[in-house]
Amino acid sequence: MIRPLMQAEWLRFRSHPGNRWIIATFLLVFLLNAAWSGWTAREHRHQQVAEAQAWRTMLEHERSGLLGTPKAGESLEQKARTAFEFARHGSPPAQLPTLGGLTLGTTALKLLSPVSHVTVTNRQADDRKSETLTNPRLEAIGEIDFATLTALLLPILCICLCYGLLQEDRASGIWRLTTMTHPQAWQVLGASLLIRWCVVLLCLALPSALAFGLDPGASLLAYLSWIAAGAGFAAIWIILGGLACLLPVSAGASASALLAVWIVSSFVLPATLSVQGDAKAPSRMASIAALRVIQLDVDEQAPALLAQWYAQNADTTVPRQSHVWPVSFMPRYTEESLRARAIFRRFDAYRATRDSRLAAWALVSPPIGLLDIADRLAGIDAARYHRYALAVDDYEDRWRDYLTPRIMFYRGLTPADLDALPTFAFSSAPTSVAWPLVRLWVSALVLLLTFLLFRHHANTP
Amino acid sequence: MTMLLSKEVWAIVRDGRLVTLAVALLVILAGALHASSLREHEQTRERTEIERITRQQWDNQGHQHPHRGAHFGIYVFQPKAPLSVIDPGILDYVGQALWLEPHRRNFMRFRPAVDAPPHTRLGLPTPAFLLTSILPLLIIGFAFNAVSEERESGTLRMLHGAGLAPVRLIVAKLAAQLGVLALWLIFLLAVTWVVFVQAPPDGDALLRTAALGIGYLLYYLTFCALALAASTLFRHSRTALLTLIVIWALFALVVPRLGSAVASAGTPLPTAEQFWTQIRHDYEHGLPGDLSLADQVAQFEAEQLRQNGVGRVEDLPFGINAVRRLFRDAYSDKVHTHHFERLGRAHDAQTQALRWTALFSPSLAMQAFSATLAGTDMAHQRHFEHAAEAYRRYINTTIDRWDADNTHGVSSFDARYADNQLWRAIKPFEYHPPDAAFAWRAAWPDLLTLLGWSTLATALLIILGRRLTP
Repeated sequence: MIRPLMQAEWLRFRSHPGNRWIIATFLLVFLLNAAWSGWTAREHRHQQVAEAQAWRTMLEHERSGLLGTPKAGESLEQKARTAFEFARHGSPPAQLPTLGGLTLGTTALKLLSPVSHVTVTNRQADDRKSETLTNPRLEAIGEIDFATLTALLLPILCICLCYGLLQEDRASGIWRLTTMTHPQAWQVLGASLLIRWCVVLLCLALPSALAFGLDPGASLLAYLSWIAAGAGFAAIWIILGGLACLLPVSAGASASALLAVWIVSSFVLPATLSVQGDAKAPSRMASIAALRVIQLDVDEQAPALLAQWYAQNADTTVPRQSHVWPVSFMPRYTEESLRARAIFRRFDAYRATRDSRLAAWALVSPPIGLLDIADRLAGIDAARYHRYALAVDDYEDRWRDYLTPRIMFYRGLTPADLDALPTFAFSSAPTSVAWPLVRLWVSALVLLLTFLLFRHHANTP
Repeated sequence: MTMLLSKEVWAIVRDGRLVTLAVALLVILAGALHASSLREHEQTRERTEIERITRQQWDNQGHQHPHRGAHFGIYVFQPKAPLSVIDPGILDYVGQALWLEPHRRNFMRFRPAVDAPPHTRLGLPTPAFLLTSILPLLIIGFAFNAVSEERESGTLRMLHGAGLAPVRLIVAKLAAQLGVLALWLIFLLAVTWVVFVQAPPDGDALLRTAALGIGYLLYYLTFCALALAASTLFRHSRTALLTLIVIWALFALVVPRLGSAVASAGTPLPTAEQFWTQIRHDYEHGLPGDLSLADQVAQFEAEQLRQNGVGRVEDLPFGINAVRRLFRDAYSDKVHTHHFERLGRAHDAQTQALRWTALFSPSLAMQAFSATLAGTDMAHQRHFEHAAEAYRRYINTTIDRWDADNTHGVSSFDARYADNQLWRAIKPFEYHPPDAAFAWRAAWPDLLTLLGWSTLATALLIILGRRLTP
């Protein structure tokens, strides 16, 4: 019984020219989106390799400089200054290792700082090399981003495909015939919804394959997880389309109702939820004043900090008794950086907590859930980024511990020192997508149950 | 024509959809305006407070080396334009504070977008977003069957039989829809000023608001005309509605992002690492045609020794470190200006590419026009940054000149011979935002595009109206 029903509905769906051009238009947009996102992800990975290579070249240049120049005439101050300049500007890029689903979140990646340069001064006060140079106008518009455009356009596609499924047949009298020949007429509606879900899923799976295929770092697991999320997301909107068909209103009115649901769940509800939590957010502006309090405070303590550092490292002979910049500033930079770091880490910690809180609302706002899954698959979710920021801090401590004595004891750098530089390692596991996926599918199942509960409305002519 | 117009207005008013949609949008807009206003108010309060605290910190540095005091730096903050309540434009994507320090020009820091939750990538539900992206959808919602319904119900045939030219009917429908929208918009803008904007409106703000209203009306005219054209062209309301929804999705969601991506790919920006490394390189080795900094400084010092008739810098009658810094910073300013202008030209090229893309989406032109009139676009941002840069140079020049005048020969960087008197002698930063004429000059290409779109859409509607048969 189901098979001929599906075949008949498929024939009806296929023969409708409106369905064909809507699918063609959206598929074209999705393919463009996929190609662009895949290419951007590919470029990002190439850029990461190029950055690492550029640093190795710079290091080689430094090493050959240290080997080639006779150092006999170099003063202690020059040695300390050379080591300081390298310690300040010469760290390797500490890159955020993105995951197999990077193609899903290329725009979000640009907003973050996916690469950090540790230093022996205060990175929090001056982090210019870790900034991202962008055009704010383009950012405000938003660039092509696979997950974002999917979250925006997939519901529109579903709304278009489900338009007037029941109402138009009722208006033309076809539905009266259907209810006469098929007592469980709702199954006809169910079959047409199922066909539409499969078609929408295909419109997602094909472009996704292209996007993931273009990214050399993409993984099959990430692709399958994304398709599972997309399938749940599409199911939600298709079932909502079916529910709208059951409403005792015209096709136009039910489409308007669906668009209203889309506006509320995509824009209004997420904004309301995040505004509610904003009061607890730490303030970047207040952090400026706090940072300057630290700077003034540490400036006061600078001589004491210098004396304290040499007292703590008294087992090594200091070749000079009075010190000038940069040596005299090193303990101050360390203290300033450690204290300022605590202020700035609060922002990453807050983002992680807030995003996790918002993700729980995916049950009523599916786009939140889909974007959350996309970020996790790309490896750029707030929780993972917070872990990355902590790992960078840890790396900075090791970098500082390794190079500071070479500055403070006026030793300078040797080629052997450059060979043993600390390296950055971030081995954090991806944030699991299991729960967000379950949440998305629970929403779909709840809607499905609602549809089944009200299915009898479809049985009337 | 007056009778026809009044019939159409009454038809719109009697149609429950319009009332529902208008009220629903007003409620959402009121919520967005309220949230935006609260945010603006809180940010203004916090900015004023932090501005006061940071200035106090600057003024009370106590005994310090003047150059180290200068390195402590001053933060300046961009005041919010009143209309940013409606359209925050690029504000979330530029920093909130600019750190002014010697030797280097900085970008603004602490971009709110970095801390924003993931869903903001879908579009921030600001009043401008609702007016530019969502309202056209609602226009489609009540105009898509304006003609096709008359055809389906047979009233079109009756009107045709009564001798009414179809084009007159369509023009009346367009005028009625636009009239209702104009009244709605005037009401909204008035309420915004009375309830949500903190500052009382001055002449400049009213001019900007009026221009903004004109821009929105042209934009809505485009959508009304397109919706009526689709309703005229297609025999079934369903086809008209689905076509219009797809067109809207392309205009509001796809083409702007595509344009942004194309503009970004067409004129790639350097990475921050490349940008600052290039500045450092050009500063040390000289811009093309210039000597290296070391050679320039050596020449400068030799000239100073010769002019003052001494053989060693230690014997100069002024602080050579400060004078050397003034010389080096002047060159640093030249290098920074060179690179920042190059970056500015890249931004301009990207903006121009976006303007070309606006030929495929009126939404893009409207977004640009709205942000410019609201004072939250790149042109206004650059105006502020130029003023801040001039102030940065003033601070550092003032301090270095004081240092040069109050020391002799070479002084130690670890000596602390400046005090609060010097810090307090630095005048506070006073920024005067540009006037409405500035905004007009920056916005006219976008207005022209909107005019082009509305003319094209109206012409299309009239052509289709002339061919309309019952």
